[in-house]
Amino acid sequence: MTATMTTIADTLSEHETLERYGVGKVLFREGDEPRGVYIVRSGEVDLVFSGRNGTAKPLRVAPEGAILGLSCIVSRRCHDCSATTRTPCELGFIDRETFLRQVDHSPAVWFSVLQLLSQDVNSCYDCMRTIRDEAAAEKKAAAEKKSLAV
Amino acid sequence: MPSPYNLDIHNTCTECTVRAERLFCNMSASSIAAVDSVKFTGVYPKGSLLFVEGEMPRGIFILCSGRAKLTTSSTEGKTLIVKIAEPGEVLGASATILGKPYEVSAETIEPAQLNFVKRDDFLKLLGTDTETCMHTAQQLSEKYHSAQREIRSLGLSQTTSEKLAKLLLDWCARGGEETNKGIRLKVLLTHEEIAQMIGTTRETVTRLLSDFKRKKIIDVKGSSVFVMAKDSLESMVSI
Repeated sequence: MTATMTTIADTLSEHETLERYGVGKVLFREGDEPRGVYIVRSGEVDLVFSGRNGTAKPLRVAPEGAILGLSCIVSRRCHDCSATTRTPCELGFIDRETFLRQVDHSPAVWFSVLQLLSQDVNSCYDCMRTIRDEAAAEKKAAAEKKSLAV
Repeated sequence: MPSPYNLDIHNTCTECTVRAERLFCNMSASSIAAVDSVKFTGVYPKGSLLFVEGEMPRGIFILCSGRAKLTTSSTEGKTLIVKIAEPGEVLGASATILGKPYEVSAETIEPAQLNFVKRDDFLKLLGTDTETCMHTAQQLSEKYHSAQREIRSLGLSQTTSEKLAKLLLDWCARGGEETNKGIRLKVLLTHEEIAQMIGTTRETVTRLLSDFKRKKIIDVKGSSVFVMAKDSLESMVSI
């Protein structure tokens, strides 16, 4: 867990509801209204999104210390991916109003929230570069295969 | 009174007539006055580089008017446009907050007014005003959701025509004007830039647009694209 995650997790520990889950527990689905945030106290969570035809694409794995649903409760948007436990997990849940009330007490905690959101944005840019690189590599491999076949 | 590039310049944030429509700027009078006291207003022509990927952050740029493209490079050196920033957006916030190099480059695609706030001043504002923190958090969240949409489009689309169809549909939803010819889109991007947005080549974009035109799905007049058969585009999109 990074120092940023620790600052937030420690501040919120008094107000969270702790639950333990086995593998495969669906925490929220794409399109659900956000009710609050989940702090991953232990274990890992898969974040996935799906196309209309049912194709699922893994987005990333949220590690211990991650805070899921943060951007949704700030922006009041529906979840844009589904979250399912990848390993047995212990998760702390805090509803939106309680979360914002606690964060508002301290600019230092707010700053940690902004750092986490910034890291999330940067992770997305990394993901885009990776997808682009993978697509280019696939295209190159297909072209090489075609030229060998000829 | 003449102004550079005929832009409607807003010199003072507190007197800005469009502030209420902007996610970041729509703060209380005292919070926006604090931003006003530390900002530097600048007017930039098309093609101005505001910051470059890998550069250490100097501060944030609030896009008051005009648009800018945010780009990144793949490991092979290919340019990918991650977003077209619209008026009201804050550029460079994540790098400034983290104190890490800018992850993207930002370049204006039309004449623009931007307010620059130095990193130290912005961090001081965040440290003292929770309303500024909330509005910054909303900006970052919107950027995150926008990036997620792009990842979805890049990662789930089966074909390049699907990616292009999705892009045109997104533009229709965000700024399309209904006309009797169809939905009018003002497209400031070249075919090369559209290719950079959807991860393909300029030649493929030119070919696909001609194809869409031939099938009477779109029509192109100068920098305007008219979407005449939106349902045809929707049927191409499976994500």
